[in-house]
Order: sequence, then structure tokens, then C-alpha cells
Amino acid sequence: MHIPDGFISPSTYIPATVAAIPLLIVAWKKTKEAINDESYAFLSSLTAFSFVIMMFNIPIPGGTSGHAIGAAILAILFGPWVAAFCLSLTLFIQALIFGDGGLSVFAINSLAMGFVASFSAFYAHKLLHDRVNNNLVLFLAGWSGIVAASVVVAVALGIQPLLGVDALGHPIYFPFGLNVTLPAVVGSHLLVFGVVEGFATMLVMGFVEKIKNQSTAKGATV
Amino acid sequence: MSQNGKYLLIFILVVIALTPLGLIAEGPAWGEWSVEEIRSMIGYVPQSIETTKPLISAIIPDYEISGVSALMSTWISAALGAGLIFGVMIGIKKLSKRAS
Repeated sequence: MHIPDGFISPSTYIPATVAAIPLLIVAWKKTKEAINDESYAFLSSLTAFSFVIMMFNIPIPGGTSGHAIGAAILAILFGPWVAAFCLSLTLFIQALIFGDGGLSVFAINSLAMGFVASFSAFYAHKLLHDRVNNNLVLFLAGWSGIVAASVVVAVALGIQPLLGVDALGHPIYFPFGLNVTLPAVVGSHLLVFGVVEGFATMLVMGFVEKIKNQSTAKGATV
Repeated sequence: MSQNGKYLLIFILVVIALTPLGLIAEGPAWGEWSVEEIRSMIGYVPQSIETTKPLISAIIPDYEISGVSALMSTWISAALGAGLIFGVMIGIKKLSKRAS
């Protein structure tokens, strides 16, 4: 879901950047408030987890692949704004150092995998919490976060053929429309990567709860 | 380091150690194709995709360090990314302490 440079028209990424800047400022402020000696270990290692989990590419039929993003874990533990900041930091490092996702379209990637994924996961968790089995809640929070992000990416890519064609009538930017991007991007996340994200959320949250309980039982600081 | 900090560090080191599993997937993510892949799919390369260069060229493009095996490249990339995140978070923690 990391959109590269050149795939998106400026008429899409400039408004996205304008929209993302104030959101990132709020997310930055909330992160500064949330970080302290106790939360640091969880915030930094779970953000590092989101970076590393995105390297676990899972092949699917059709010659492509995808991965989990780990947004729901941070959103459930620290709230959607902090999670969005952590994911955006991950995406920025990926774009800057590893060329994974374009810097010019950073705002779109940040809005999708940072903000939309974190807020969707957070509200899915809030809505379902205490109503159904906890593991199912965690699974659905992860699943809905990444699926929501995939909708944003599919729409951003799929509208590009409408935004510019050259003299031969060929699209200038991403060449496939919504009829192709929605089933390919959203479909694969609904069926495969969303399920992976759901299980990752369940497993890591289980681990986090376990070590938190252990230290509480010992009377140590978190 | 706190007990939790130790568990979390072990956890992230184990996940980093497992990153070469991600090399099993040969294809890129849907849509994240190279210029050559796009040409072979649709017979041409859209103008902007062909001509747009990154604002800043990546130091380690695609997590592959030239002259280093794919396995080592992946481990180094994962450790570097995770290390940078730990570093930035320490910086933010210091900033927020100074502010309060």
C-alpha cells in the first residue's frame, strides 16, 4: 500500500498534504504528551514492530504480495492520534531511507496507513469492546483498520486515470481505474492481509497484556 | 532497563531475526510496480511514472544494500529502521521532558 512517487497527480497529493499537516501537528503534540519513561518502551518497540512487520511480505495469487501494518495495536494502547504519529514516523523512515513509498505522496500514505487505519481500528475496538469475545474484538480492530486504509489507497490510485491523459490518450499517472483498484487492493486486504493484521493484533496484544500483568503483579513499574 | 523493556527488546529482536521470511514473496505489492513491470503489463509507461524521480534518492532502495546478500540486507535494514525509531522516540521523550 506504499504509493510510490509519480503514481499520483499533484491535484491529489497537494490537497492531501494540506489536509495531513494539521493532523500531523495534533498527532505530534499528543505523542509528546503520551511519551514518558514508562510508556517509552512500549511506544518505541511497538512502532519498531510496525516497521518490521511491513517487511514480512506475504505472497498472494496473481504475482503480488502484501503485509500487515500493526496500526491497531498502537491505536488500542495509546489512542488513534498517537498511533497515527507512530505509523507516520514509520512510513517517513521507509520513504526516506528505503524508497518504500514516495516522499511526494507521503501525506496520502500517512493518511491511509497512519490516520485512517488507526482511527478505524480504535473505533472498531471501542464499539465492540466488552460486547464480544476479546480476541474477536482485537482481530476485528486490526482487520477493519487495514481494510479502511486499503479503501483510501484504492481510491487515491483509482481516480488517477481521470486526472490526466497524454496526447495518445494514455493516462499520465496510475493507469488503472477504480473498477480495477477496488477489487485488487481492497479485496486482497479483506481476504488476506486484513486477516493477517487481525491475528497479529491478537497475538501482540496478548503478549503486551501478559507482560503488563506480570509487572503489575510483581508491583514493579510498567 | 525495566523488566518490560527487556521483554519488549527481546520481542523486537526476534521479529527482526525473522524478517528474511518476507523474502519468500517475489512479487511486489499490488500497484507498487517498477517501470519495467508496468511496461510489460500495459505496453507503455505513464508519463509521470516514467519521469518522476524521488525528491531524495533512498540510501538503501528496496531494503537491498548493493554488494550485500539479500539475507544480510534484510537484517541490516530491519535493525536500522527499528534503531532509528528507538532513537527518534528517545528524542521526543527528551523534548517532552524539557517542556514539562
